[in-house]
Amino acid sequence: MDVAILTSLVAVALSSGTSIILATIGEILTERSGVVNLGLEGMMAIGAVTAFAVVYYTDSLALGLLVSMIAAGLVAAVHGFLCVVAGQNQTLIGIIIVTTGLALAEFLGQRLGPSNSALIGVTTAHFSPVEIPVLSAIPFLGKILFNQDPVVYAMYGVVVLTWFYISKTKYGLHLRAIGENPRAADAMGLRVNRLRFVYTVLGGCLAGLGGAHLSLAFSPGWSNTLVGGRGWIAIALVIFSGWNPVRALFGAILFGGFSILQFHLQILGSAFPPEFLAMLPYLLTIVVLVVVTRWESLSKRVGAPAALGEAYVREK
Amino acid sequence: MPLVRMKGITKHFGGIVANKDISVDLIPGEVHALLGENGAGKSTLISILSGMCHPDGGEIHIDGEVARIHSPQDAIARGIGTLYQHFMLWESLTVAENIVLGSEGHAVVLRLQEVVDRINHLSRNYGLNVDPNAYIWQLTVGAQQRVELIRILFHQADIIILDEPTAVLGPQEVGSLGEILKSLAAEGKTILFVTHKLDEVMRFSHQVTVLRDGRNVGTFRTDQVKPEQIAILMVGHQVPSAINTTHPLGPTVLEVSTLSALNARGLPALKQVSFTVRAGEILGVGGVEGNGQEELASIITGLWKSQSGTVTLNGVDITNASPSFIARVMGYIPSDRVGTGLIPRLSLALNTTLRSQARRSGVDRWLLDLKAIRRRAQDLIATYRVHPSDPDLPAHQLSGGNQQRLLIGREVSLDRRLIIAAQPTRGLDIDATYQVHQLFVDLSFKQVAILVVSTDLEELLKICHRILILSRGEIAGTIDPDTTDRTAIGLLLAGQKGDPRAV
Ligand SMILES: Nc1ncnc2c1ncn2[C@@H]1O[C@H](COP(=O)(O)OP(=O)(O)OP(=O)(O)O)[C@@H](O)[C@H]1O
Ligand SMILES: [Mg+2]
Repeated sequence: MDVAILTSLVAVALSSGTSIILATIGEILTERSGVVNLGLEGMMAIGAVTAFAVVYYTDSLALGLLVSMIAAGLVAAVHGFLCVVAGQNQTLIGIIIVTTGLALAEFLGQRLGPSNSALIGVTTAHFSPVEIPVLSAIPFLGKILFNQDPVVYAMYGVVVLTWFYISKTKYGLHLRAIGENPRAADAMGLRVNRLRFVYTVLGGCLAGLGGAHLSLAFSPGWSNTLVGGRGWIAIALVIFSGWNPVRALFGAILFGGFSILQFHLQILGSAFPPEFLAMLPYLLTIVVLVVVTRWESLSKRVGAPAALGEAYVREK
Repeated sequence: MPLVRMKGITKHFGGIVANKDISVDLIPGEVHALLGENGAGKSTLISILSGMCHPDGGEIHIDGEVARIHSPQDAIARGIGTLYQHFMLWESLTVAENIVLGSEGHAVVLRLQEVVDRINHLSRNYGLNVDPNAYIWQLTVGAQQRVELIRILFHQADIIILDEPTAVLGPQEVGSLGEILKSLAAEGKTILFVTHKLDEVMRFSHQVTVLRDGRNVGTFRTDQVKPEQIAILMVGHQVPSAINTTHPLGPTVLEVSTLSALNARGLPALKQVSFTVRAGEILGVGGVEGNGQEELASIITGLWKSQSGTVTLNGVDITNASPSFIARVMGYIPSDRVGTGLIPRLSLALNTTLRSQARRSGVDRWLLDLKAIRRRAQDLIATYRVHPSDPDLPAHQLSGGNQQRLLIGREVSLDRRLIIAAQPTRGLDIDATYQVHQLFVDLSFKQVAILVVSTDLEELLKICHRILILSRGEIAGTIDPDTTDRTAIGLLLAGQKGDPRAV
């Protein structure tokens, strides 16, 4: 394999992983606050289909992104209401939201197309790579990092900002506090459940944006299998990254890389059946992350927010 | 002119009356001590004032007007700062982050270096040793208590409430806390503090209020009342002070030899420690907290690993044995009762089963025998006078002292020949403390070996046959409570200081 092919492969891996990174970052914010949102897959699908439909009707990519975030954010608000405000079981609600979200996205995909027909097969405006002068001239890395579509660039910002926000700002400290010991946070004057609701919605918005990247940039168009388990990979990544945004980035690129690799193997033809190859990225990502996490947790204390998944109610 | 007036505060929990028509006035520039038996309602009153709990009746006035305190936010806005009986800390955050939370100021980006400097400053000025960059999970309970105290100072509240701040502190730290309270009062702050120690009340407070069964049974100027009067008002009868501990000792039960270990921060915690405990002996381990006492208890009980040396029980090597094995051979009363000792959300009945796999205990089969468990729990609750006595209540609904009674009862009723007890009377009222001391002495008469780790030297002097003083992980000396005079003990403890990094 020569260098040009390798760079383009890694560049596509990055693009392929972008939706996952966005959803992962969203989930990291949600989980750091103490709420588990298993509904990512459904929220990404909602984001993808609404973004695509909006662009189809308005030709405005920016509006598409915005609507994807609003739509998925609304779904997350339902999760937040049921789990944070009403104190329902977060796992159960999350799973209901996945199935309902996927079904709703499928339904919208059938109806939002030209004259009430399906969106499947429809083409619209979409994002394409924008080469950034100077930076893209950096050998090897330039072509990978700086010849991408605008959503990928936005993702860089989201990763760095989130990392900075969580570890360096006052609000990030509050975020960690409500997920680690909500009672103490309450005693110190933080509005635990209000904040948890906000971070649940925010997490949903980012998952929606991730979905929009799929339908508007990575593989423009809509199909029922577009999200294809990326929401679940994102949830796994949250855990393997140790709730750390920067490490999540590498996990997502890893997954992107494996999925591109299996795609190429399929094209080149291989002894293995394509269904088997399609399974590989999921499997390999998990294996690599398990190994890395295991190796690392021996030296450091990485762990879930202590109050993850527990509703907080102040005793009367 | 009082700054805070609590009028007719009433609070029920189900059928239990926690506070009944309590009125207390707090005057600026004064320290007000709040006293009462375990379960008397002190923490409840404090939770009401700090917004963690809603009263059923009564009013709080601050600065002459009615203050509606519906949440901790309201209380904080009114200038109330609270140190709770059960720590409000974040294990995964650093000391500095724990302390600054809630008073970060307007800047969005944290300036942790400034916070660290301020903490170091406070810690030097007030004699409270902490490392601002340590994580809470690395600290002993005493160090965590110091973090809570520094936080109170850091937040600069006008009305300062402290619920049993001295329970885990050593004598020197209690002394410095007293000085802190006095100087804060001199600055015009209003202070309410809960303690079970009468001498602290006499030394530090201007006024004292005694609660009993949820009622205020008397408020006095401290200089116009005698400690005995307060004690009788509090428990209803006189509490004896001396205990007879003389009886013959049996063969060696526990032998620790050349034990060395690191603490949670990877620094040396124990260096070549050797001693034995004989059947019927109560051996005390004292010294300034954070000098290896916690690690020693944890290693013997299998919760922490030693680096070298051995621990033998009746001649059998149990060095670094698994906690589940250890649970079968000794009783253990850990110093953090709600973390290691009890499971807060579990009922009292199930909490009593946690360490027993004995036959007919109700947990020796596949299916729990809930009837047997409840019956045994009821016996235990009655014997150790846990209140309230409903075995189905979750453990977190008990007052701190009653949780401790349950824990001690559970471990003692396991009927082991060796008991390791860390801070066994922490948070117990004077009567209950006496009961525990008497219980330990009774057990020693039955040839049970007991190792008591305590920062309270008075306690050790009262019940122990021998006391080891640990300093920087080494045995600095041995005290014989009968013959060693006070000045010798003073010398042994003097000059000894906790290594701030080894806490
Ligand atoms: N959340 C709760 N639910 C039910 N009962 C409670 C709750 N909190 C306290 N109680 C009960 O109210 C009574 C008073 O408890 P409180 O914690 O105020 O006692 P305390 O004086 O602080 O005792 P201690 O010295 O042991 O800390 C106790 O009988 C206790 O069991
Ligand atoms: Mg209390």
